[in-house]
Amino acid sequence: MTHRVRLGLSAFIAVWPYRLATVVLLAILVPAVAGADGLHWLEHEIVVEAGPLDTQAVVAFAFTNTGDEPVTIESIQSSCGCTTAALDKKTYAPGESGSITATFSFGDRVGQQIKRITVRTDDPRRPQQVLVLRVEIPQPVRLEPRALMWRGDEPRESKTMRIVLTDVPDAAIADVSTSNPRFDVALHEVPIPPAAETLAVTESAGGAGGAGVESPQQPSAAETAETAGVPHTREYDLVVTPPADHPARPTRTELASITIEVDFGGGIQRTTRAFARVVHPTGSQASNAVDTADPTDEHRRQREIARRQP
Amino acid sequence: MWRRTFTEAAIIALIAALPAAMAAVMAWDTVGAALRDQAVARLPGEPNEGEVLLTEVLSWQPSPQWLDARDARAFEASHIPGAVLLNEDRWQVGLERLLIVWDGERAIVVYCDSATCNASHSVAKRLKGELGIDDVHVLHGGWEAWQRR
Repeated sequence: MTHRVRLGLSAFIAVWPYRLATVVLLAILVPAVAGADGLHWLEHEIVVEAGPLDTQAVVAFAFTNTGDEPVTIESIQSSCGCTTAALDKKTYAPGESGSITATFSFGDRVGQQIKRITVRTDDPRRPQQVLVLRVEIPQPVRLEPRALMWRGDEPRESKTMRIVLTDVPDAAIADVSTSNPRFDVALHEVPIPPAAETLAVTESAGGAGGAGVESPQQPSAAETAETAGVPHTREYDLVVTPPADHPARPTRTELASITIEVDFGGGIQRTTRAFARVVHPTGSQASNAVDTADPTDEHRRQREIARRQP
Repeated sequence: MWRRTFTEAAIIALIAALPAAMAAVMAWDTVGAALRDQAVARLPGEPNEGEVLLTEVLSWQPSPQWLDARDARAFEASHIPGAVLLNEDRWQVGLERLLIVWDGERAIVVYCDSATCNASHSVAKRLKGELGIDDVHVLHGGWEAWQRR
């Protein structure tokens, strides 16, 4: 009995190192072999810092089929309609490389954006992989706030919105106009310390409903800022004065769309829009219609929606 | 016998865990991206910060101004009655639509596709910043919740 036990123990001691070596080998090889199959992506996540005037980002997610079998990409799906993904072909032989080209159209987006692209393949080990595109979109024209509003019982006093131009050194406001001449707009450039000069622009929207911009007689704030070593920035105050009286046509709400044209230099101009709105006191006017003084089909459609609302 | 079996099993598990951890690190780009995105995505269960339940919104008087943050195609296919299309594809056009319709008094509720989309949160945040208003909410569950009502 003692002999049998001793034999068993000896056998265990004799076999154990081999058993251990086998386990270690399998544990290392199995994940390594499994991980080598299928599409191997150069990057799963691409980060883009867009330029201030860019309207889209185009990136390529490169991959190689590192497995022993052909891989077919069955579908590519984006998390947003603003992002499209294109592929040269669908099936890739072992060792073959390719790429997915993703195009993200910014639209009116600003700030950090995250777009996901889901790639589905016929590889049973990795049927689905997620690619991520992160884009930081600058905002070269910032309005604080974008809309000025006067409620029914609020005094019809002027309000101011701050317009901040950043990122583009020579950017300046070229023109400001309003769709509704009952709103007065006046634009003043805000001096950036230590400079103290004002680009004066004032104009009441008499007939044309706009405010021109006069050329500065002194060095601009941006030039002074550049000298001082701070980022190129211009700031303006847009002062809006609402109509004090009611319009001739019965209306509940008056809206002005204010178009701000910014010249970025090099012949590049972009427009952005601000808004001013007055809600007249209930009861003083019979209609719930909106007077924008610039009726369009869209406005008429929205008025129809407004009438149908409970 | 049992003691030896457990000891061997523990040793094997420990040894196997090392290469498994290495494989996980190597595959982090794949797994990590998906996990990080899941973290960004909204939880489908309870309302998150700034979200309101549909049952709650339906009891509001006056009724809120609905904002549809989905894309134009989805909006045209169907939307909550009275909703205005406002997304970041054409922000300024949508904002003008809102200012025409919205009276400035009613609360605003934004929705997108489902509980896991972020467009409604982005629109709500931007709207608060650009209009300087606070009474803006996000519908928990989005368009899916409306359809299930």
